[in-house]
Amino acid sequence: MSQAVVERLREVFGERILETSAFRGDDEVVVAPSDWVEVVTFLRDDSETAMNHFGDLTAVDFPEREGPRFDVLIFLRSIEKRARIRVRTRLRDGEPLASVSSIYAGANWAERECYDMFGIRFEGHPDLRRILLYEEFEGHPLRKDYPIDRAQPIVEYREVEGIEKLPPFGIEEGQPFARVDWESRLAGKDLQVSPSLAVQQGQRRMLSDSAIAEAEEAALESARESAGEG
Amino acid sequence: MEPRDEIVESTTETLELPTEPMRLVMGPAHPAMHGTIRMVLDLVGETVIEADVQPGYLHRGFEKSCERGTWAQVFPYTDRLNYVSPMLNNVGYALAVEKLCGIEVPERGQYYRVVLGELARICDHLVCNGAGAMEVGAFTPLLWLLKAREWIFDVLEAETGARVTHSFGRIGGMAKPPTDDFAERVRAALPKVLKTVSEVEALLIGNRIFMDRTQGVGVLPKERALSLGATGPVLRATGVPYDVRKDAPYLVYDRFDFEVPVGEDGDAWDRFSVRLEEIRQSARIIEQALDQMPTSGPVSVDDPRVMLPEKDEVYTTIEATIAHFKLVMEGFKPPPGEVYSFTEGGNGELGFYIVSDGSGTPYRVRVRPPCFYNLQGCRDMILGQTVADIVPTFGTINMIGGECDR
Amino acid sequence: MEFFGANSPRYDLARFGAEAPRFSPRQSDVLWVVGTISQRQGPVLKRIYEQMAEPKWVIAFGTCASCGGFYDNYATIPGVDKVIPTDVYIPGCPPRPEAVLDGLMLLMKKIETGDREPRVVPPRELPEVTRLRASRQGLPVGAEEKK
Repeated sequence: MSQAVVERLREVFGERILETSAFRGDDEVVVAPSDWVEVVTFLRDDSETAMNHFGDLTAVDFPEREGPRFDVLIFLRSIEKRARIRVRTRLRDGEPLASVSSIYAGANWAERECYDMFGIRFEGHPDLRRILLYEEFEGHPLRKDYPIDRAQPIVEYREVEGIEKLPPFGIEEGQPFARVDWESRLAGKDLQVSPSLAVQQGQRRMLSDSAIAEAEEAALESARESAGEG
Repeated sequence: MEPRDEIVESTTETLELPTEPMRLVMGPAHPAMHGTIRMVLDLVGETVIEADVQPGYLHRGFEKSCERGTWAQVFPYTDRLNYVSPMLNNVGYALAVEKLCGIEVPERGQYYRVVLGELARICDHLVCNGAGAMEVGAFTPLLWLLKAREWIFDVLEAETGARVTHSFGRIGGMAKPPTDDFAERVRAALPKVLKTVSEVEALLIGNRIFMDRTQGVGVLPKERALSLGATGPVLRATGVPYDVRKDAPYLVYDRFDFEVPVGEDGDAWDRFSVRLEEIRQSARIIEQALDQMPTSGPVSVDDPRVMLPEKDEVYTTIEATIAHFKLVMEGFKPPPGEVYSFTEGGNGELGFYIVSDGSGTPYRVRVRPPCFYNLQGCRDMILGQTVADIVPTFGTINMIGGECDR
Repeated sequence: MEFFGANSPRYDLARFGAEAPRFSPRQSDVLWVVGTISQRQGPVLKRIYEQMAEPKWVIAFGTCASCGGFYDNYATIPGVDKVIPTDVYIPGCPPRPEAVLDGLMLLMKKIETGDREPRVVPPRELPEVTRLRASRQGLPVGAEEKK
């Protein structure tokens, strides 16, 4: 990491560098989404920064934060200067970001992954489609409001008795104390889920709406039958 | 598909009749693809004119799974990221959390991490080179190298109790101190491994068939590799001497004398040779580390907020019982903040970008998978090559499904 | 990766005549499902199984293939048996090569006896424990301690 890069950016962009930080030696600058491509291009092309090695591009979801919801980060590195920098921008939900895949070839897949996992659209990306998940998948799993156990199978499960998950592989396999139930937290309910509540929530989630409707209908049917008998 | 006459005319003069490009789907369950990957190829004759590499068939929700347990519960998942060199991932993650908390592991623990990590790196390269050779028809090297891997596994098993998925790293140190005869066992195993590697080298280096299958195959130019974010042997084969252990030394890597092997052309042959040489360099590091390693002292920090208390204390004293309960059930709480920590994994720069909100659960764990970016270069490498060249190219990229797809 | 281990010279799967992987499901008898099966991989697995000629058997290699293991999330199928019928489950994450050999022998025994029930490879016990158990057979529980 290098402070010189941050200084150089300050010098050139001035007020457009919104924030800088160096927590634990990680130099970081924050820019507005509109300056994203310009800053990244400058970092690569300027002879003093010479960030020619693409590091990583990822996002973080902050649904509870006031203001923009997503942070998009790019990690860059210079082979000659041995410097590193992290550039961050903040995006509202649904707001597109200009793609940097034409600047760094490596950003191509990274942006596809961001789109896949967070639903952030990158404008000007040559081929923005899902990369880790499949086309049929709905939603974006790394958003905090996507429940971790909502699976979307594309192949029908066999219906044979006795192949359910047995203990200890139940729904509550994980650790209830530290687990945060984001669905209810975002709805303004419990912050920490009690184990029994988590089990109930899990079971309810496992029953899809149609299954619940079916079960209700069956209950009604049996109630009618017993009434008819009486 | 639309016929592509213009491509046919321009690229292949030897073709007697114009043909339509053929679409071939390779994978995701292809025997020569040790890793689940799908490649959609457009071929003219045998030549690849367009390729779409599709990872994701082993996506197991690593990053989401990390967000539901405690910080310590991430370790088993990191093991299974790169199941060929799990110890490197363990240490990489532990270093990231330690950077976030500002913890410095005792010197003996650092040396211990180096030795175990380098053993894991040797395992990784043994398997990669063995499997790569097997896929182009040389079965013997694979068997020999797997034999050598077993000797390393013996050491790792004696230390950690598991052959592959150790979960041995801890935030603030290692789970257990080294066993008494750790150094002797490593010193006994290394020469045997190096001898086997030399034998394999004699079988393959200079072997005309192997040379023809790998030299000039799957070339990745230097500038392109940098732009793609390639790291590790794939980048070093192109001639860039970038190794995190030299570039930004972590642990005690600045105290060792070792070289960073680089290639020239960035082809499959170079990647193979770089890995072969790295095995020797890792052995050098291990020897130096064993000489310098303190024989006594703690391997973990002495901080009850981070480390679990000793088991016999847990059973006998109430303080230790409470501390144990709090650490296991709530997890320890690092300060809020975000750090990016990077180490040299088996395949390149293994980075962990972690975000903490001050609670006992990670807010976000992002792993920078070296394979993912190395594999992205696969399209560049195979364009214009024949179908048969895909196998050695892909084999020397050493794509590990668990890490690439997470 | 431990499948490599089982194939390696030390454990030598070839002793059981199972060393040659067939490169097409059409020529295979046994399908080893090694590792986690993601939702995306599900249709592929099913198709491979359907391509195999009868008689055919399936071995679920490892906890992840058997029940999903701790990948209890949106991306993975909780066990291959949700998609295809499975004959032998080998526990372990990953299973030790010894367990793999046990699994193969279990499958052979199943084929020999015509047993079509799914079976789990039982854990091995230490030889001392086996000896102790044998020596205790016939004695009432706790009889030794009383002496």
